Amino acid sequence: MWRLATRAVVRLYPEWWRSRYGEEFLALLDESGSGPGYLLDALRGAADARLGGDRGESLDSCQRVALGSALCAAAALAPIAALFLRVPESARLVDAAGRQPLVALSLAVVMLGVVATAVFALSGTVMVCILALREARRTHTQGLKAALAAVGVGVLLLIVAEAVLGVSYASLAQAQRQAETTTVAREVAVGVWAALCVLGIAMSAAGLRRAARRTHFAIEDARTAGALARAITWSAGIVLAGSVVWGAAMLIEAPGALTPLNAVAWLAMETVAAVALVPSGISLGRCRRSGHLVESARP
Amino acid sequence: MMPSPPLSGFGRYADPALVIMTSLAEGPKHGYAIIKDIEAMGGPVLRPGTLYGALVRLEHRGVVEPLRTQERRRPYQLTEKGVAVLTAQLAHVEHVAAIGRARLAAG
Repeated sequence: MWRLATRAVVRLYPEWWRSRYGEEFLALLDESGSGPGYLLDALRGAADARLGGDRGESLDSCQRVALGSALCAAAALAPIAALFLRVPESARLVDAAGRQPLVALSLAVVMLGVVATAVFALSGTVMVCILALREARRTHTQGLKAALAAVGVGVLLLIVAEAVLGVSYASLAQAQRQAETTTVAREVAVGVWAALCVLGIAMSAAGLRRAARRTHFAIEDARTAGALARAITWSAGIVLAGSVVWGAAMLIEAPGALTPLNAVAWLAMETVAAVALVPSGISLGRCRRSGHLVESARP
Repeated sequence: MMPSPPLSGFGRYADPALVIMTSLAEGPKHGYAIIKDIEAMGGPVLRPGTLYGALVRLEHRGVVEPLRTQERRRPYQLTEKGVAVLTAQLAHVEHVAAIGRARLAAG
């Protein structure tokens, strides 16, 4: 079983690697031992081959830490979207806002936080695309350009999703005042929003995979990886800042809008994301001092 | 001051690369023969992922070169540059070892 699993891992190596080393590597696997250690070793080798590009480059240690921790931070931020889907704020808040000016002001602050989050998230994603596109132009990497086109479509879908959410919430407030079918409208709005978000992310991932298959796309060298690490770190930081604005506004101005579980989960995820960003920031600082990122960002 | 060792850019593959070059100093070998030879030398147990991670780097730097495939196995041999790199790396190791021995003797 372990041997079969290890042989299957060969599919995770880049295509250029498989066409050059695949057959002899499989022959070696047939002769060698097997077990979880062999499987993990092959997985690590696949990750190295993907990150090292077709010249077998090793990432600089600070770039490796920066890229890894920035990706961890981005992964930690992803569940925040799922959490916000469960915030039971609308009915109580909108109802109270109609009667009390102070609650109406609080609601305005919360909505400002929501808008800030959306703007920060989108501008962060756009920043990733701009930096990566600049890098693609510098290195003339067709695969990276194709991948960015796919990511761009995904980002557009996310923008549409945010617009749908905003319009739906606006109509929801109107319906709330008229005591009409608010629950169904809210669920539909959230459902459309979530579906578009998932579709956008899936399209981005599929586009990246297509581009990888067609052009043997891999992170070309350590300098490209450094530039991407910086972009991801900045965008993750910006998204984190946006969600802090929203979450803090919720906790301070409308504590009743969050359940204790919502609040604890939100704080935990913010902490994880912030802690994950710290090593990334430190490593990027080292990279900048050693000149790698200055070189890659400003060719 | 001693110059940087030739394998300083290999990261975690520096040690495997050194033992692989040492094994190939005897003559061309394929992957499984390299692993067994290193084990016989008392070196680390190299698994296929690590072995090929190091071999790819050595090949792309012109330190080793592939020979014709024989029954799915491909032997590798040291190049002239590889011999020079191995010589320099061993000199570096000997330099560090000499310092270590001297300090132990003084302590």
